[in-house]
Amino acid sequence: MRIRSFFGQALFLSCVLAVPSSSHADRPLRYDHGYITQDTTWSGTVILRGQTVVKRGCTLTILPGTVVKFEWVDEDGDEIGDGELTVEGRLVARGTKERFITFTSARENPRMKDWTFVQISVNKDAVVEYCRFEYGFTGVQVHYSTATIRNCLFRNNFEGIRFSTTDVRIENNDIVDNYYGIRCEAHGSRTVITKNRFSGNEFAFFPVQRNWDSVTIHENNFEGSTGYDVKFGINQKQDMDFTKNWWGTSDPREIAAKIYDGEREATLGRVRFVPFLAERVEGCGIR
Amino acid sequence: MRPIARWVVAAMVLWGVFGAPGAFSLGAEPPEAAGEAEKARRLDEKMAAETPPGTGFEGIVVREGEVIVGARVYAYRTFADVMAHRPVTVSAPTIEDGSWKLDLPRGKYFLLAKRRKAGAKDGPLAVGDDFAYHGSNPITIAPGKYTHVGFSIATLESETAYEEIPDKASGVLAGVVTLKGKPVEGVNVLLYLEDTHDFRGMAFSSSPPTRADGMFRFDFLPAADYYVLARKRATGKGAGPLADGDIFGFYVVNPVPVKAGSATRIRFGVISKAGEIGKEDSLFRDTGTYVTGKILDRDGKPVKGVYAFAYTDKSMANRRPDHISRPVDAAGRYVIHLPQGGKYFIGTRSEYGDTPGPGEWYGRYEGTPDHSVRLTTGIVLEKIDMVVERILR
Repeated sequence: MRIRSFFGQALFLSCVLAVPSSSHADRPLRYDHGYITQDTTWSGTVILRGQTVVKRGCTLTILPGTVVKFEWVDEDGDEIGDGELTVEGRLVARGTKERFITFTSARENPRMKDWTFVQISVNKDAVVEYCRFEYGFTGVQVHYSTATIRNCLFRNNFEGIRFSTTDVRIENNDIVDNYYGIRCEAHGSRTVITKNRFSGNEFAFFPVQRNWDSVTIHENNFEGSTGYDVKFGINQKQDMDFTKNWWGTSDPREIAAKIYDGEREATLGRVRFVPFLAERVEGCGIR
Repeated sequence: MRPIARWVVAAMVLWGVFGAPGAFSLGAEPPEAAGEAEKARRLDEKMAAETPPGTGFEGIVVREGEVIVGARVYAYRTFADVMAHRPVTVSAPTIEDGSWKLDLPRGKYFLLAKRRKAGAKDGPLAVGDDFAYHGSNPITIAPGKYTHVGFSIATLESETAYEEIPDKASGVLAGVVTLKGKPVEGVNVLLYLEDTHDFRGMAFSSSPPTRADGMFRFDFLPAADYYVLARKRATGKGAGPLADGDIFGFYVVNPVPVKAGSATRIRFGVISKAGEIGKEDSLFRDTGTYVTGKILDRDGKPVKGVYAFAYTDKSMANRRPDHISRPVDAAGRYVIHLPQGGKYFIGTRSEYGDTPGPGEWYGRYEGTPDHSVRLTTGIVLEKIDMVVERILR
């Protein structure tokens, strides 16, 4: 028996109709496992339940002051909330210094991992500015995309930012009190990470594998990590350039003590951190 | 058996040639065991009744990367059954692509591959017979699917030899570890006294890694029957399931008797784990259930050489796909053979495994919002076409 893809197309059309259950300006916009198949703008309060996907060819624009809340659902029982926003088209989330866009848990008593992530997947020129990400598994994941993440706050997430094979500029962000601040697998993509403030994370920077000098990491402030400032994953075999950053001290032994690399496990690459900055970088974090 | 002079093959005893030791004999079961046997039979019947169709094992048998024709896979309930040559079932001989298949109720099984000159009936091995004891034994069947098991087989190269030694209070077990017929370096030979814990616990004794000559030797062993195994981890780490590149060996005629005043010498053929080779082969076999279509670039031109893949998980990331196609042809056509109907998430990319890199072709099926297709067993789903783009280009 053979079936033509007519059935697939029919299914697709039925899903296109899965648009918000309410779009009144005074009431929260709600999506329940929704697919966004046309250019869409969000403002006010938006409540997401399960996976919401912005399809290829569509742009989601989020206006300043918008609050996106993820309802707690855990259908697979992995103790991570299922709420996620995946953008396969283009994301433009541009808040202002006065009116941040917030991505947070809808729970009254929120906890880390209450929702999964905002995922930017195969985007061109995604923009994330003046946004606040809290209580997620990952605040933002960026894969196979070009993107800018600037002047954002990542706090109380399991991972602040995760990216793979992505040309991304991560600049002037406050990345605080997460388990992992940044987790990455650059794979030769061109990434710039600068003027960020890392503070209070368990591991501020976690290169998993396949990261080398295509990743530029300069003029950041690393302070107060409870575990390591940099922890290489077991498959991070290449050296990485972490020179010209402030590590909370000008004693190289103290800096080295907060780095887990080939000095501790011979199979790993090394962190090059000399020369390092002798004092805190001005203008780091949200401006 | 009487020892003879140095390096002269004396007894030529293959374990079992003259009958297995009493502990594993095939005599009638004692009365107290009959109740247990009845319970086991009922449990087997219950499991069979609850097992969905299409449940069992499948795979291929290879030696040094070449498929083996005429080998059979034997499934046993317990290790005692292995030693007693008492299989639950035996596969048909492997065909020209080395493949085999067994329909079995769900449960755990010990799997061995053998090619005996004496024929299909299970029994002791002779020099020249092929043999493999799977390193993951016992293996659990997932209900409703054929669990893949790849075998890499070794040949029994010579018989066990004994020689007299001056020390009459203890024995010696020595020999050479070979891979593809040549001595292999860096392998630990492990001795177990019992078959409990499936040979995964602490060994009674472990040799230092073999040197370039593949030689190993245990001195001052108490007289006993020893199960002889060998392992070498490609990563150098000593725990966890076997991975590709690891070396594993279960001596063909285990257990090996070691006697006081005697040196027992064996030639121990081991295998390099090659499960993934088998897996790929089984993935390409026509099951009658498949998804097919074309892979085109933005200009509508076929993209030759990329793979199509199917995940059972919607995230389509962080692990290898469940099913892949062969590289697509010049017309951009692909076929993903699936073991059964269900919901699959379909995508395509240049490489198989690891995270895609810059410049790699990448795409997902866009005919449904979540990139999925749904089909039932026996269905062919056509025209599941995909458009690919180069990442970061």
